[in-house]
Amino acid sequence: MDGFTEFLGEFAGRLSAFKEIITASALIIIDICALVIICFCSKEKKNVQKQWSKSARHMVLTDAEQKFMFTLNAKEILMGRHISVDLRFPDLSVSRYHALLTLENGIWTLKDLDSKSGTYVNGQKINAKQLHPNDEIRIGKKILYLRRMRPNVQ
Amino acid sequence: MKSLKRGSRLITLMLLLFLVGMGILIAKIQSEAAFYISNSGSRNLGFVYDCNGDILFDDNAEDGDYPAGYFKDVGNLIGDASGQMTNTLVANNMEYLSNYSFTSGITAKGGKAAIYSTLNHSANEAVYSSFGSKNGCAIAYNYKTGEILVCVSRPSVDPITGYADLEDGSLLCKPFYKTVPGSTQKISTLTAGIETMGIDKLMSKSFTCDGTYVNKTGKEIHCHNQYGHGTQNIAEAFANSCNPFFAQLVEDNDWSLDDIINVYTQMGYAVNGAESRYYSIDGITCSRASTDLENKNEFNTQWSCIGQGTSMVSPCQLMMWQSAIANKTGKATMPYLIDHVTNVNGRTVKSAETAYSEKLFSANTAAEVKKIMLENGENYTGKIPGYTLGIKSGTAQVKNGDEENSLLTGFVDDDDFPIAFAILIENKSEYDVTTEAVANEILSSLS
Amino acid sequence: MYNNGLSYAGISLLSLLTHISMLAIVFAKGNYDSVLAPLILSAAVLVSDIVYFFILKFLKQNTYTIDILMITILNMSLIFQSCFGKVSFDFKHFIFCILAVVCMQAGFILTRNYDFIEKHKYIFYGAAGFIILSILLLTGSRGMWIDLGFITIQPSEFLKPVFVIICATSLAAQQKKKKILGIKVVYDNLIILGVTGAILLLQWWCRDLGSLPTFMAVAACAFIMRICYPKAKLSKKLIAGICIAGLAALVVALKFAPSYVQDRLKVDIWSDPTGNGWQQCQALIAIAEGGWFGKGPGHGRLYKVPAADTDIIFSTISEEWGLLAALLAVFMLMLIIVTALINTPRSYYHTTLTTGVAAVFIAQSALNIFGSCNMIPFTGVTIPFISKGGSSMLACGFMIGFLKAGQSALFPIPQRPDKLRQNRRSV
Repeated sequence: MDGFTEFLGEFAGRLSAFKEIITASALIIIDICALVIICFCSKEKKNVQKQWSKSARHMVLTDAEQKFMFTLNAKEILMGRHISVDLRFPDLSVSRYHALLTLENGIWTLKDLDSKSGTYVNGQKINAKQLHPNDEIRIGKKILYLRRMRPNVQ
Repeated sequence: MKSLKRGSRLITLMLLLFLVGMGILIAKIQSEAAFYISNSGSRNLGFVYDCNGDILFDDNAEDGDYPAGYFKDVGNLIGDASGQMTNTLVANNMEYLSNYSFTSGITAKGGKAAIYSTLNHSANEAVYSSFGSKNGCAIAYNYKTGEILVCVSRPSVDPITGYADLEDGSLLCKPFYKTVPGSTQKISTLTAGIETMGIDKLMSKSFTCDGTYVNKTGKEIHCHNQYGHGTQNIAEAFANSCNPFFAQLVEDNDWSLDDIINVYTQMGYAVNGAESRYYSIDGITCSRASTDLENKNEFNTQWSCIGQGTSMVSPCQLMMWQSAIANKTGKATMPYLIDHVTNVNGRTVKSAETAYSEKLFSANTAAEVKKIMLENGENYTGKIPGYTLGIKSGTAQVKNGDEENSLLTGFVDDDDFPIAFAILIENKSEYDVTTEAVANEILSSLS
Repeated sequence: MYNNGLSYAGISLLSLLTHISMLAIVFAKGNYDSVLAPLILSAAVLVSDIVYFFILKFLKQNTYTIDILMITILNMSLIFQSCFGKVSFDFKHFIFCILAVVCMQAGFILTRNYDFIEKHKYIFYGAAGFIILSILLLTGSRGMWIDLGFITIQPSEFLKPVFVIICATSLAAQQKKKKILGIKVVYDNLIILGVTGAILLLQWWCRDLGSLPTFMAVAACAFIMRICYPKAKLSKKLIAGICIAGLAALVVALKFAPSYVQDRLKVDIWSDPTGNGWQQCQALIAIAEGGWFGKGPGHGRLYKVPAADTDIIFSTISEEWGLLAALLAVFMLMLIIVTALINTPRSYYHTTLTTGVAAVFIAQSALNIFGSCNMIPFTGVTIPFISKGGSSMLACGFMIGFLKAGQSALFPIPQRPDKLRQNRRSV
């Protein structure tokens, strides 16, 4: 504490010189610049989020009662029973790495990852299939629907 | 998405580690900046002042800035920053004089870093000139607080005029180096006697001196008075500085050699090749006494207890023993040279404190030794008038008997003027300056 | 400029203001003979700023923060470099700054589209092999430089972006497991292991152990993002095991390291100030002399020490501009990495790319700064962008392009038969 007050006193003493004012203001400006950039970055993030949603066609995965909703927020979404997957079903009928949902050119594709119980789209067992809105996906015992969610509907 | 988050977590971890490293770096630089500066070539050192504000060290002093010989009396004590002398105040306390603080970087001028010492420059100069043409040393301090007031060593050096063509020994500050104690050694033997036997038994002993004494191994111990002193007790023998008495005392059966060795070791001697130790007086190293005691009945050992032999004591340590005696505590007051230190902004960063050594001998012993020394001091009221003194003088043979040094050590028994001192004059002769004259000068210039 | 609802005029002005205030310091406290020198410098900085912001308006991206940060840092670095010893104008550095921005755009365009990279992955493996071969064959006497007369190239610097691209992966690629010797592995991961090993041996052979920690950091990140991926919640035992194994490997490596490495590790720089460790001594003394606010641009002494503008650049800036300014410069550099944290990429591929780039930047900055200040043994690596060095600036420009790609990734939408207008959106 002693050293700090001494430092402040010394700093104030040297500030009387014009050159020190310039140095101090430059340092302060650099700090402000950094802070503003961080703010900007956060704002840009919201924008990018909007753009992404648009390109992903605002797709979400829901179950029949629309209680459970999972927004597709990444280009690749892994589904299964393992802890590290993006969409987890702690159901023994689901394999550890069951299926992979990818976005390519605006179209969502579901690919089965050699799962034991298989992946079904609209009742048909698939290996890799392009999805359309309102498709029904069955993974193990779990049934999900791919729906488009308009942003202003929320 | 969990998978995406792993990337973020990894980057955050790396950034945190980096930040921690940077924090450690900044802390390290802050704390070690002064050390880096001391290794660099550029230097801006402050002043050393005496207790009245006289300048004792000026890094930028040039010929003509100060009166001629102004620094000569403190040259080998305070020293300078040239690196020629290593056991000086400046050489060992450079970091206090450095006008540097990390917040402002290197300060070109106007820094207020300074060492304020306890020395009294006018007294010091007076004592220095009182030696006349003789070489030697003198040191005096306040035995209540520990402030060193006078410290002179001749020959000395004036750092401004340079280091060429100097007399031998100019770069040493002699009070801090061991020398042959001469009869001042008898103080230690007296202390050992009282500590071991107690004053009553010691006082009851009487031995005869008739000029020469043949000891138990057949060697002769000569007294400086060839006719002898007759029968004396310890106080009389101390005042007479009688060598045969002390030789017989050493041989006495009421104490063993180990008794003497124990007391000597406690007083600070390195006995029989034990590890030499040092006092550090604000960075200046002061040697501690050493001696060899092998056989009480034997010539060398007896002489080591009397004042020659292999005994070596520094004048500073002699002076410190005086404080243990004068204070009647048996603990010496530790001397110091720095009163306080100010940093580059003028703030006091270090202040001296009075400290005491560990117990050198018991308080009772100290009181009894003080009495005996005061008795001896009464014999000096003619030569050093005006003070109640406890004193012991000594003559030491050096350089294989070619020269004799004259020593004087003692204290003023006055609570308002508590000075202890030790004086040494090299190569004494009858017609030259005496130790008593120097003592007079010390006491009069300090009062 | 893409219409994303944000006005970049304010932030551009702020960036300009940063440079102007630094130039004001140069004018006020600088060491120059004629006022022409700082004037030339100011003109170059301000003109390049304004031209750059003008060009930015024609680029269609979603995020421009990285671009603005880049120009801020590059011009700051130009001002620092031009003022060592005496205020002048470092033209070579200026050219390389411009080239770095061009490389950034090139890196951005290259990695925007993952499918492209996926198809042409073998080109990158080939490029890595080519660079390694060129180092083996073309550099003189086990050095790391190729001297072309007018410029010197350091090929290992270009190895870094290539290695980062090789290490990047997507989730789909990780799932393509094939059986070898009864164990399911991903071919990709084996190739990465091979490349890492090759680089390790190469660095060992070239005796440039400075870049080795950087490559190891990228490899470690790749390892964590790929192989550890199946066990997302890394069990404590596994983490402990890996750490101990890593430390043990480090200790063994140090014990058997060649003699010149041992020397560097054991030197006490203060006991022998004119021998090994002299640069670090001078660097630390310079930082101490500068204090928090520095002596003033151009007034330093450290620029005479060799490698003053590359290996001990942190101290040189600290001496002239102050420790605060040097810390802020490093802070701005780290800010680029932080933008990747705030605005996270949307695909696993860009995420791995980003971690690789972050590893390179942080590892190199840490090696340089801590090494020059004697916290770790001294190595000869540069701080990205702030140190001088053409190859380093171009390679780092590339890698910032990768970061940009993560933020403004391209997911092209093909023409749909039920839509009349062409949809080609950058996302």
